[in-house]
Amino acid sequence: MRNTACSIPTYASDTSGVCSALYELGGMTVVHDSSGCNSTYSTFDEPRWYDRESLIFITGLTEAEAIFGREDRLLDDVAAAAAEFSPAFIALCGSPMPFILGTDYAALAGELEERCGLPVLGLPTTGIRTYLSGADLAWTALLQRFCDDVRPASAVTINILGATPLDLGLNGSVDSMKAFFEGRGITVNACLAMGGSLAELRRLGAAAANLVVASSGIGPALYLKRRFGTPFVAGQPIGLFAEDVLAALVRAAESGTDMSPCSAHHGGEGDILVAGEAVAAASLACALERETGRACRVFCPLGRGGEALAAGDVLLDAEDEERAAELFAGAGAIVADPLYRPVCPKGTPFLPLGHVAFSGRCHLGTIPDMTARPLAEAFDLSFGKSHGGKA
Amino acid sequence: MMPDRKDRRLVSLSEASFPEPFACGLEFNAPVRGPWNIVHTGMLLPGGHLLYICPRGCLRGVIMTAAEMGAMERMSWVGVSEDEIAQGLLEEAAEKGVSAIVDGMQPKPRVLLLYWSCLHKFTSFDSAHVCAVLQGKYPETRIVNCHMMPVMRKSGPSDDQRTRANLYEALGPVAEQEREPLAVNIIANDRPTDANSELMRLLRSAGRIVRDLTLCRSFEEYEAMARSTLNVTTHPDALYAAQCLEGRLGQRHLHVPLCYGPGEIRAGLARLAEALGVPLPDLDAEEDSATAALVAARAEIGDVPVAIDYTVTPRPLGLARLLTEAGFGVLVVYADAFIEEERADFAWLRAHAPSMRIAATLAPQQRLHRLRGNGGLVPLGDAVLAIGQKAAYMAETDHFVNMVAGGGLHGFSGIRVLAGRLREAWHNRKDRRREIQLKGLGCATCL
Repeated sequence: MRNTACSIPTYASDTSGVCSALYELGGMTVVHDSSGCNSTYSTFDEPRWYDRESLIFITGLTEAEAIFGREDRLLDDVAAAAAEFSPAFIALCGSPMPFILGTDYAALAGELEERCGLPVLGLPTTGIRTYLSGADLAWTALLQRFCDDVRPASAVTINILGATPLDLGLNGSVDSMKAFFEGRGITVNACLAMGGSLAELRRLGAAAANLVVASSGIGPALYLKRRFGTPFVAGQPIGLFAEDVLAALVRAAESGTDMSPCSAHHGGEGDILVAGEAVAAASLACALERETGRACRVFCPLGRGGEALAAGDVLLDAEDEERAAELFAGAGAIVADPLYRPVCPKGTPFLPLGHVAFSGRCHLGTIPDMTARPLAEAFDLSFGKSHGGKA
Repeated sequence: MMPDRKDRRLVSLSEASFPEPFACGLEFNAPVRGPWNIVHTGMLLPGGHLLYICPRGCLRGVIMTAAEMGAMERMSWVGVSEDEIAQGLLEEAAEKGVSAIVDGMQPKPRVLLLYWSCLHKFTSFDSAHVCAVLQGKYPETRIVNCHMMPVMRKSGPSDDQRTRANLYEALGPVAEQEREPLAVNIIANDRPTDANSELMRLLRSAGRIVRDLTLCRSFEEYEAMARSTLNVTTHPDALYAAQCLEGRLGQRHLHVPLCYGPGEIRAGLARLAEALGVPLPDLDAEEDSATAALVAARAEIGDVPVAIDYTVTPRPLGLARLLTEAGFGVLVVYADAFIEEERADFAWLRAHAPSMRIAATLAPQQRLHRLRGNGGLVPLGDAVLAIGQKAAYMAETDHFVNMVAGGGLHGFSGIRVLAGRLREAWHNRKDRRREIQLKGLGCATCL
């Protein structure tokens, strides 16, 4: 399998995943990088950047510093910024250059922690892995440092895990999820991390079940399972499938068993191919099957989230355009980010669904809030006159 | 003397050091996207295809730039994996990946710009060897060895300067008899020079054929640039390209800088006239016209505080001096460093406007609205007239001149046009949030 493409983008990197995951939690995130990661993240991967302040910076690594191993400036600069901004914590992650240099993030974090008197997370991102990996890494590290020892207060209290604009966009879907669950008598204890806070994160142990809405939330869910015994449910409450998610949460809370209702779609040689992040795509596949009666198969090129998939779905750990094109060629209809169109066959019905982690801000207008409302309200489920294929 | 580490965001000219007023440190990236990057520049080459061989984090920015331009068909990529790095397979993987892409292209591109990353530099990746192998394999395509290595940005030609030079590497040497003594190239600019500028009129009046990559519609028009005998540059980031061409193709180079001082403008045009072998036209009327335009603009705008940034022109201090001399209330210049050409204007401003402030754009404090005004030292809001997108963002004003990299303006005519834009900006609000976030001002965008 090749990691090459002529016509489609690559997904956001682990560095962006870290920044996005921590954006609203009151910390200061520093990316050890020369330049580039900052503008890439803030331009394409972070739709909150203009309107919402968050302390995210790069170190501005230079050639001389790389050659001579000068990490003292990094330490001085981070300490100075921490003294001025008083963040709740510091996260230090990296890009490909520090990866090549063998940067020891744990050691740097330890030294900074001593100097600043703040919790410091050393997150060894490489700029090579996907955003899901970065978000997972950041949240899991944060949970290890901040989660209080609390126990569930109620059997119908849940957390939402894995929420970033990279997967959900900025369409109000987190608020809609909360409203949906609250309306059905389920209390949302915390959200990791859109609309969340460090205070919420501290009490993550107080839920009876965790809802994982993107596979970046699986690592935190497993951590919470180990520490508190909290079961998790993989799925987004979208379309008519929302009721299945709700039922699974109740069952999981009662039984303590993990559940993956989104893996209940057809898979295999499904007629409609849904491409994207595993939990989102699988949930959409379930919702589509409910409303169209057509079998759905999922294609996830992000190498994570196998828990959410059905037998016969395709999970790749490389973004191979040829392989993607082969899969699209065999589909009766396609649901994917609009930037996949060039590798989809002409004439195959194509339902565009933007994904920030893939198309950045190009197609923000094609990311509707699908929470607990019929998909038909947001999409033409007859797959109308929308066709794929290179123009 | 290195600036004090504490002086990270604001300093008065009287206390500022040149060319770097601020210590380096953590950097903030303002949501200002108008200045071009190496993708916008690379796309200027007709028939060129850009291929990036980089880790995901580096690929993402350039690919999405192309995606927003609606130009994905001119961009491909090969990802780099951790295993390839660990096992020393980067050359092999690059050859295979690039070959797989080029094999699938019909017709083959005329020029393939291959970009390697910082990671390649620090793993002793032999890009010249890989390019040679690929050149042998694809003789009909000219392979150009390019860099995207921001780690080198303070230790040699920047990525921007290199890319501007890379654009001309597909030009081959021409026989002496094919050289065109009456043909002149304007090179390594990212937008056409104003046709009404004194520079362009001088070239036309001297009977010169003027070639400019930004105006080339075909690869053949691009190739013709090899036959020109004189290269003219106006932007400081073009100098490296000119040096390369002078060495490789023997094309003479003349720098006629984008600048704002009447003496320097006249001197540049005089050098050009001499090189063309024609007399320098009388420029008094042009200068008077520019002066009158500034006076008229000053009369309308009055004592409004003016903020200028480095993205609007490579000579922000020169522009600050021009406007200060014309009576405008220039209060702050947003810049993190200055080029050597600014030294004289820095000295003048220091002597005549010592309280004018230099504000860093990269400083982390600029992230926070509450710190941006520096306790009232820098005015914020629509009472400010900004020149440039970063100045508009930092000063939080909707009254701004939306222009990058000089905007193609040059000479006295450029000052006249700019004066008009100042008036327009002062009388009309712009949609700051939308306009400054559009990537690559002047390029196509899907947003």
